[in-house]
Amino acid sequence: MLFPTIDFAIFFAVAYTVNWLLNPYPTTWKLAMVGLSYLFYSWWDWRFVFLLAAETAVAQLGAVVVHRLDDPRRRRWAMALSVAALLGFLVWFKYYGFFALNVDNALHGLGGSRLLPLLRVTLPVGVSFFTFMAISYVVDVYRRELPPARPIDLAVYLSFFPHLVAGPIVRGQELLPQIRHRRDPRQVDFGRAAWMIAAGLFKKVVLSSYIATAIVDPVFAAPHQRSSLEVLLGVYGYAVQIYADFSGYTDIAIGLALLLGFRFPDNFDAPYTARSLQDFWRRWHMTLSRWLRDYLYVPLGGNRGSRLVVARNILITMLLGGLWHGAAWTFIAWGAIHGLGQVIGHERRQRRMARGLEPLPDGPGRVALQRFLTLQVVCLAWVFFRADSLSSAFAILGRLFSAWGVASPLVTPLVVLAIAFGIGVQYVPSDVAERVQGQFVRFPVAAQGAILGVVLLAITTLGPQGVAPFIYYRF
Amino acid sequence: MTDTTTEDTTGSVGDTDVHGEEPGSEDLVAEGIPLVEGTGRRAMRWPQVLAAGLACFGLWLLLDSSTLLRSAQASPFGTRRSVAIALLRPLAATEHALGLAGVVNGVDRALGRTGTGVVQVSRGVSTGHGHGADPSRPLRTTDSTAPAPATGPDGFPQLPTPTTASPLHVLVVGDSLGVDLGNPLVDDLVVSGVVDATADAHIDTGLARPDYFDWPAELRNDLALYAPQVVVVFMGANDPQNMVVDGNAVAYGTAAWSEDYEARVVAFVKEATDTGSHVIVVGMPPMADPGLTAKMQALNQDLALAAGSPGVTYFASWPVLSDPSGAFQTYLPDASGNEVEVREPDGIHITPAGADRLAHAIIGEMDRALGLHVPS
Repeated sequence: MLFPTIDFAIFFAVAYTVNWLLNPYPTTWKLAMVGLSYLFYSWWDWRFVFLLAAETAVAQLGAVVVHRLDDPRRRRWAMALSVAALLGFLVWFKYYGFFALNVDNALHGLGGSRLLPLLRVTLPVGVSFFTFMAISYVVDVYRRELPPARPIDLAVYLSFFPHLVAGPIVRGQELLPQIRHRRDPRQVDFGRAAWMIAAGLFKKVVLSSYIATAIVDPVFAAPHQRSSLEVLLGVYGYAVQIYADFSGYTDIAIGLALLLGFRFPDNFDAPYTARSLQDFWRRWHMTLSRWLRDYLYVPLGGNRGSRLVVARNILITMLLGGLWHGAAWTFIAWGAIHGLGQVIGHERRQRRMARGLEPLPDGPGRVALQRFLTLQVVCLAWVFFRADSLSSAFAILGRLFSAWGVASPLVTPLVVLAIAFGIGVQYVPSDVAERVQGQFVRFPVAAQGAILGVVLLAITTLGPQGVAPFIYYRF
Repeated sequence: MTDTTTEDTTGSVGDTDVHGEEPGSEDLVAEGIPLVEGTGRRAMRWPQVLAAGLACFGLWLLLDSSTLLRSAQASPFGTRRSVAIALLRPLAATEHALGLAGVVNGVDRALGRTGTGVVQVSRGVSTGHGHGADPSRPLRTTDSTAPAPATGPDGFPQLPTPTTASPLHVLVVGDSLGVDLGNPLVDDLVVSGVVDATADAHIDTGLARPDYFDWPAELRNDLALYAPQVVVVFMGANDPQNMVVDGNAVAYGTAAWSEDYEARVVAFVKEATDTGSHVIVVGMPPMADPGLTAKMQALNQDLALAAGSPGVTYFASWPVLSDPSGAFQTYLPDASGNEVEVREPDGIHITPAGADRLAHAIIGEMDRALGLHVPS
């Protein structure tokens, strides 16, 4: 069930009413919320509801065992076993096909015979997201940052439908206390929720869809038929498309959660205004980057150790972060570009510090240059992220230089405007949105409904009929 | 090891005082996580929000009911469609009576929409243009002073060997599988240097629902625009559904359906052959779902029968995208012998590697059946 559909609107109207009617009855509310979330998930494939339930059971069992053990070594083993079991689900569903295919081709190259059967394992929607949340829960209990939750609380936490299929990756410490406490039915943050949902719908239904069909898809599907200018705009267009698509989804998820009385962490903070790749990862998919930091980078040693060790830690984290997005060499290449870029940036800062030099002053020219260069590296990496294969990615990059002066029918003023808008809007101060939200809730209820109805009409009229699945659903 | 139970633990973080079942308690937001920060925004009660939401949804339904009704009418036949139409029809009538439909229709006209409900989404490109195939260019015309071409065994004009100076014009049309195939095939053809190729494919379309997408009209337009010498047709996966013929419902799976569908395919390809174009009808491949595979087998029989007329060739994609026994395969070896994924996870669509494999086979068929000798 996709968010921008009538099916979901009807589902949410029911879920919203049930949520608040049962709010005074916590146990009943939790059972209802798990039921609704499982129903939501079963819309894709009912069989994977059992996967979600199984991961919940494994996480709970692991957390309880880890919590009860005193011996540090045994606790560590119990935690590692639980995490391995949870990762096992992810590895099987997401990486088996990729692994078996590459082993098969390697053996074929060496003249060997097939070792593993080539199976197509269906990827359950959102498995990467709820598996990471389950892992963080077990590790937080191991670190004694979180006590084990009640089983029903954990079931709500992992399955809560606003975040279930594409995040944000909400930590147990953030959501479990909200699940345990009743929401205040007089405190619905409608202004912010309505803004987030409307903005998310606009980004997804209008901006992302338009740029995808107008330039990105034609360029990436057949780069040899496109001019260099079209390819260049196609690459920038994809940067805007994936931002609008994913942040649009997240905006809707955060808005829906707010309507139900829950607060999710922000997931994006104007990522294309970043001044370095490190800065980019503080602004892009923030809940994933802090997950990678806390559960991978820091346990690897983080910034402790020699420069080589730190570089290794950064590279491992980014390569695995790339692989998290999908089982393909293109995602590994994407992670490698981000990893190498961060290693270079880290090394430059370290060298400067070692020489006892002060940081350079932040003049407007320097800031603009940093932002420009960061965006170019990010866009270069997006080419690998979007391409079907490494050879396609290189074909696109090659076409950037080999077809100038050719007609560019895909480059229209509207395409250029849409891309410029997608990047430029990130420079609008956030308090502008807050002022609009503040004004909106001062209107009478009927006027609010009318305003939102007209906004919704504008979005559905400007967008194409039908909605493509969100890009991050397949991760 | 401690004797702490899960219940003890959860109780220790202050659950007991908030898990009471008494309605109307004044629990505030979760500790440290206020719902409304100090932004000046007014918090609202949940019934007020529900009222605003319903008002929003109701107004949108009313204002957009004509578009929604068109979408509902174009959706697959069944209960869902009937219920949606029954609900939307009175709303659309109200919208028209109030004169509101003109607003949305005006925007649609401004955006150049035809109202066919065709969706072009990001799973591959839906329209690709080969070298020189700019839709804005003047219509191509035939040279009336050129000598009449020789005819083949079926009495259809033979195609000259394409050259750089006189390239072959190829058009690829289809549904979402046509989207998958279109650009790799166009790419492979245009890199030969002697072919000018164009793809026009639209997802969710076929020949069963002309009320949703009128493929004969689209093809007529393409023929006038591109004057192709060869038309490759790859569609049908959406077609196993009930049809309306002369106002009467024809149930899928019946002999009447098969006859009517075959007639539609014949009429469709005739649009092209009437203009002198050769047509290659590409059959459907096997699918992961056995039920859908059986439907594709039946559909291929109709496609193959319809391809018996002069100038039309049927090409079976089945052996290209299956194992030696004809069964569905996700992985097949590429030219170097390495296994590659040829089918998408949905078990229906074709990956770029699979499309490349099929494109090479179709170019081979052009060579074999039409004697074109396109360099690959």
